Amino acid sequence: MIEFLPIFVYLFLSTALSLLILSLSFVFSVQKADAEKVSAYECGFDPFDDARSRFDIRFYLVAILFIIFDLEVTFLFPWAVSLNKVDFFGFWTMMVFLIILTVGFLYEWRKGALEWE
Amino acid sequence: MTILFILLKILGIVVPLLLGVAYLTLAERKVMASIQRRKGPNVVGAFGLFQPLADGLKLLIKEPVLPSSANTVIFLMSPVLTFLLSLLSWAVIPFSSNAVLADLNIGLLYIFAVSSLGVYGVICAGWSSNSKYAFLGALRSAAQMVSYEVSIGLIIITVLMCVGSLNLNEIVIAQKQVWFCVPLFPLLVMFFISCLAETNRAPFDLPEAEAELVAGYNVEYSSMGFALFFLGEYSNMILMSSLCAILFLGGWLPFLDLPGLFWIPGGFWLGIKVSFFLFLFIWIRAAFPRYRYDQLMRLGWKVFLPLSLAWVVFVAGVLISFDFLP
Amino acid sequence: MINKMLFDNNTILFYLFSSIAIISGVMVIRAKNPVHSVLFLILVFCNAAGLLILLDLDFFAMIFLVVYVGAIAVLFLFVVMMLNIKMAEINENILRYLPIGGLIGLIFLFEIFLIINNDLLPILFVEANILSNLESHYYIQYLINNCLYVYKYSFVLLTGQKKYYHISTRLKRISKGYDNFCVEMEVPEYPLDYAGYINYSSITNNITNIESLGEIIYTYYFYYFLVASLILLVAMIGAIVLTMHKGIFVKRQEVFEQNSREFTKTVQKLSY
Repeated sequence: MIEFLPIFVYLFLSTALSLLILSLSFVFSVQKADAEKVSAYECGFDPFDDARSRFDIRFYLVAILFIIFDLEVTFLFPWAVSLNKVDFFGFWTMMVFLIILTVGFLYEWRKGALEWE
Repeated sequence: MTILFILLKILGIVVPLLLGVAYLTLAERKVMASIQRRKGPNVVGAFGLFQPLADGLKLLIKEPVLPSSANTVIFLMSPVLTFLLSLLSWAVIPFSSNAVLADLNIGLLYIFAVSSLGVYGVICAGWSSNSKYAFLGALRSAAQMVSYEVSIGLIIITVLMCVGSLNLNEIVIAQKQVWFCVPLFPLLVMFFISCLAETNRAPFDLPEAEAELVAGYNVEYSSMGFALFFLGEYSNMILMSSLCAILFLGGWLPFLDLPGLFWIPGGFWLGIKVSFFLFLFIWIRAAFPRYRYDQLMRLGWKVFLPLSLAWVVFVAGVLISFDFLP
Repeated sequence: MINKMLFDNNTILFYLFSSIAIISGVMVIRAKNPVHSVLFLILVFCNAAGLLILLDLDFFAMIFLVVYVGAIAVLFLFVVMMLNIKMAEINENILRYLPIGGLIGLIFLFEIFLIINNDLLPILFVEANILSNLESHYYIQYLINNCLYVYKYSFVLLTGQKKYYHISTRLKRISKGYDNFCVEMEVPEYPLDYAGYINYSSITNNITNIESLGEIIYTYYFYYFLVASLILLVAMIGAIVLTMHKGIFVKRQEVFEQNSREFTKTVQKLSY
C-alpha cells in the first residue's frame, strides 16, 4: 500500500494550508467584538429562544434510507469489478439481492416515506 | 527524497487548483453576465482579471466574527474540514497517463468516500453556529447531498462494470475506442444533474440561497471562514466536472484516436473537457429557476434512484449476455 | 540493520494510528459534550481505516470511510443533535463504578491474553519488515523512473524494450495491452540480479482486494450475502414502522397530475 503515502503527506499539507488561510484573517484584521455583532442572526430581531430545538424526524428517516442504499452500493462494488469471473451465477445472486431491496424500496414508496422531503 | 518529489507533485496540484478556483469565480460572473446581456466585472484589471485578487483581499481584511453562543472549536474547524476534503479528492485525478499524485487501485471509491465525508463540514458548520437559520439550512443541505450521493454511487457502478477496475487511469484508457458518453449518454445527464445537487449548485441551491434561507449554514461566517467555504464549493465543482470528464468523456484522451494528437499533453484535453462542464454548470445556474426542497428530494429519491438502479441492471444484463465484459 | 527493521514506515504509522485511535476511544467516553463524543468516534473510525490500509486492505478502508464515517456517524450526529443534551448535566462520581467496571475490564484483558499467542509474534514482525523494505526500494525506483522521464525514454529507445514487469499489483494493467502507452507507463524492470529471493507470490496472479472479495462473496458465500440483503430489508421496514405517522388531513402534492395538466384548458375567460 505504498501508493497511499502521497495521500498521507497530502493530508497534512492540505490541513496546514487550510489552517494557514483561516489564521490569516485573524492576523490581518481588527477584531472589535460588541454585543450586536456577536449575537446570532435572526433578521434583525433578538433570538427568540435557544436554536437547538427539536427537528423533524424526516431527516432521520432520510439518513437511515441513505445508509441502506449506501450499503447496497457497497455490495455492488465488488460485483461490478468481478463480473467476468462470477459469470451468470454471481449475476443472478446479485439480481436476487436487488429484487429484495427493490421490494423494500417499493414498500417505502407506497408508505409515503419519500414524500415531501 | 521521495517526500520531496511528493511535495513537488502536491504543489503542482494545489497551486493551479487554487488559481483555477479563484478565476472560476470571475468566469462565473462574466459568463452569467453575458447570458444576461451585460458585462461582468471589468473595472479592476483589464477585463476584470484582478477581480479575484480584490475579492480575496476584501475577505482577508474583514473581521472574523465569532458568535458568542457558538462552539468555537467546531465553528472554526468546519470551514477547514470542508476545504480540506475538497482538496483531498484531487490526489487521484489523472492528468495524463503518468501524472497522478497517487495511482490508487481503488481511486474511484476513494473519491466516493471523500465526497461522503463532505456532509460533515456542512452539519458541523450549521450546528456550531447555534442559529436557527444556520441549523435548518445545514440539515437540508446535508439531506440533499446525501440523497444524491446514492445515485452518484449507482452511476459509478455502471461505468465500473464497463471498465472492470476502479483505477481512474484504467477507466480513461478503457475509453480509447469510444468514450462512455456515446453508449451511456442518459447516465451522463443523470450524473451531471446529481453533481449539481451534490455541490449545492443552482438549481438545487435552496439550502444556501440568499432570498430563502439567508445563505443557510454559512450565515454566521465572515472573512476567511466564508472564503474557505466558498473555495471548497468551487473546488468541489471543478472536481465534479473533472470526474464527469474522466468517467464519460475520456479524461485525458484526445478527441480522436489519431497518433498525431497524442503529442499534445493529456492535461490539455482534460482541461478542455473540464472547462466545458464548468461552462455548463454556470449556464444552468443562469438559465433555470430554483427547485423547491420537496421537489428536489422527490427528484433524488423517486426519479434518479430507480432510474440509475435500472441502468445498472440493464447494462449488467447487456454486458454479460453479449460477453462484452472487460 | 536492526534499527532499520524496528523503525521503518509501517511500524511508525501503525503506532501512530493505533495510539490516536486508543486516545480518541477514551475521549469518546470521557468528553463532556456529546457532540465532541461523536466527533472523537469519527476519529476512531478514520484511524481504523488507516490501520486497514497498512494491512493492504484498501477496499475495506474505503468502505469504513463511506459506511461508518459517512453514514453511521452522521446518524449518530443527528441523534445527538436531536436530543439536545445540555453540557455537563451529568455531574456524577466516576469512581463509584471502579470496582465493577475494573473487574469487567480485567476480564476482557484476560480474554485478549488468551487469544494472542506470544510465540507467533516475533516471526511475523521480521517478515513484514523485510517485505516492506523490498516494496519501498521498488517504489523509490518507480518514482525515480517517473520523474526522470526523459532519461528513461532514451533508455527505452536504446534498448528497444517496451514492456516491463512491476513487482506489485500492476500485472493486470500490463496484460490489458497498452501499446502506445507502454513508453509512458515506465514501470521498473524486474531485476533478476537482485541479491535476495524472488517474491513469487506477487508475480503470480495478483488481483486487488476488491476483486478477490467479489470472486467469493457472490459464489461461494452467497447465502450470507442474501442474508445481508434480508437484514437491510428488515432495517428499511423497521425504520418506516417506527417513524412514520401519517397525517390524515394533510394535503399532499400530486405531481403527476400537476405535470399532466393540459395547459390550454386550465385558464378560461369569463366574459359578461
